[in-house]
Amino acid sequence: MMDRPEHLVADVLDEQLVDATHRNAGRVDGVIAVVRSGHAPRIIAVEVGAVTLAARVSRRLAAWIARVDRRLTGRQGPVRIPWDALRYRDRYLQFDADVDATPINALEQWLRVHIIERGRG
Amino acid sequence: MSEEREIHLERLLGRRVHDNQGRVIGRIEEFRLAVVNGETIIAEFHLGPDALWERLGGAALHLPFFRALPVRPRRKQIAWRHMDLSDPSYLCLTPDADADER
Amino acid sequence: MKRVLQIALGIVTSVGGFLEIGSIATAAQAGAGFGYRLVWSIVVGTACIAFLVEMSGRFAACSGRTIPDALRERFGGPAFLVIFGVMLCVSILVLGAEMGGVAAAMQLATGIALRWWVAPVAVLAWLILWRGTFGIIENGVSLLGLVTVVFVVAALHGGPDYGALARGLVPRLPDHRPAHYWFVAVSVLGASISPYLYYFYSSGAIEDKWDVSYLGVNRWVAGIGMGFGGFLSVAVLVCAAIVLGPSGGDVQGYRDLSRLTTEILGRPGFWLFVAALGIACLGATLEIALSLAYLLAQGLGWVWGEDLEPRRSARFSLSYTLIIAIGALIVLTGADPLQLTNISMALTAAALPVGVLPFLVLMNDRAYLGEHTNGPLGNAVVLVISVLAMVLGVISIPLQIAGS
Repeated sequence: MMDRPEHLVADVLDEQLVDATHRNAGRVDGVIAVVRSGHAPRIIAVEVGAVTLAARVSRRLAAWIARVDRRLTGRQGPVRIPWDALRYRDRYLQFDADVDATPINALEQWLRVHIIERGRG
Repeated sequence: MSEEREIHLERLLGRRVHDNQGRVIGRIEEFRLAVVNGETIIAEFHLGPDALWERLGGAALHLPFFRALPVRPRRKQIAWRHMDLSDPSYLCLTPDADADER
Repeated sequence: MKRVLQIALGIVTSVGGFLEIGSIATAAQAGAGFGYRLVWSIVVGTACIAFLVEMSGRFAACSGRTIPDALRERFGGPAFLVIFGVMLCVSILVLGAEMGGVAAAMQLATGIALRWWVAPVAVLAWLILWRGTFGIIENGVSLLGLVTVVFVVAALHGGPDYGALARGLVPRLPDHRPAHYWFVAVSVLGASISPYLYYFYSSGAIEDKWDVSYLGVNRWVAGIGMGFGGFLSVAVLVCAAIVLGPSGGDVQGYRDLSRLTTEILGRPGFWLFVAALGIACLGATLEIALSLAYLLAQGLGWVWGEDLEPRRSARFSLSYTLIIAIGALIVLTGADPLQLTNISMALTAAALPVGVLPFLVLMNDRAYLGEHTNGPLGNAVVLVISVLAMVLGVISIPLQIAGS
């Protein structure tokens, strides 16, 4: 259950995400809400990833980044974290999982395996 | 049963909002949240340049040259029920809406 | 006692790390072309960077955040990308100039052409970052940079005109070549107020785990460290005024720069100059590469830290690797390194408000700083100097390009 952020942009969007062990896990690049006629928009998830961030600037750039990301990491799109899985702390948001067990760090892991550790021989 | 659609709230930032006559009344700069029945909802949309000050925490007003500017507090708050989100590329008020001004 | 030692080390490393090719070349241009008339520009630039560095350390100590962290949180993703884009474009040119400076030092020492040293310099810088820790980079290289005190020795030994030096503290209109005068003034400001300096400082404060108990240390280090650093720049200007000023010429290349100490101190002056140039530029290379990697990693929320093994911070480590490679490529394009230095410093000055204004907004935000927000003096000094530098840059850069 989330503590009480009062404003989306000031308190949630672009905030640092950390995992259960307080390791950096990206930033809140996007926020997804569900809209239904006669009901208030309900927040269901946050999105993490360069594709989501790029889409705030340029759809074409986001599409290119998505292609490169898919080729390198196999990810099929931005990573979503359910809103209910987040806890709001003093200027960061935390989720109860190891970031390496999620697709968030797929690029980090790809670079480690294919470049850094391969370079070590 | 009415249909549910997903929207990206971050892509609504900076989008113009129109009144019932098609005039632009401001741009979305912030969303006020509320928890209702355990769910987090968008309670209000905040429009206009002063919502931007709100986002910046009012800190910019402490800079020397900003204090000299004739900045009037001007903020529009639109309740969720008065915002028509059926077309995110053209945001407008619902027919029964009247933009709150303070 | 521990805090006294920390202050002493901080001041010493600030002094040792202050000079780099930008401040050396622009101060030399100032002295060669205009004697002592541009001392004021060094003083103004030094005052501004001292304020910015103190603010940067205070921000990190009070908020527990680096500047890029807060820029992203406060201004949002798209605005952060704009700031990052501008900083990247300007700083990568400066990085090329610094790497060119190290390669030039090796050319002076060995006679082997500069372009053959670019790749080894890039590899050396990369190895230090890949294998080293923040402490080695912050303290080790900066302590070696104390060799730049050779300029003070040369300046005092050369017998400066103290009266003209004192008169140079007061801004005056130029008596000849006005476009070039203002271009050099802007370049000096850009060399002194490089944003990568105070961005790096805030990340360093977090790496060193500063909290509010370090505010006093921070004030001493920023004020005295930057002050003495500015004093070194003035020493370079004085050497140039003594050695190159009488001929009324410009600084044409690194060999001209080496004359600043060689003609006053003889052969030992030459070798000390080579050491000073190489070490100062290497230190700046490391700082710029790290500063840009910090900016990217912190803005995007990656794992980062110079003390982490590269395999544990792969994106951060490969970012500075790529940045160093791009810097090397810039030098290998064959651009004249000193021209690259002058232009990159002037562009830095012209782009100052992009980095400084959002930072000033943060420095007035009680949510980050509590009771330690800026006073009116700090706001005014930084704001006025940054806007002034931008205006001068926008006017003088086209004039300089047209004139040359």
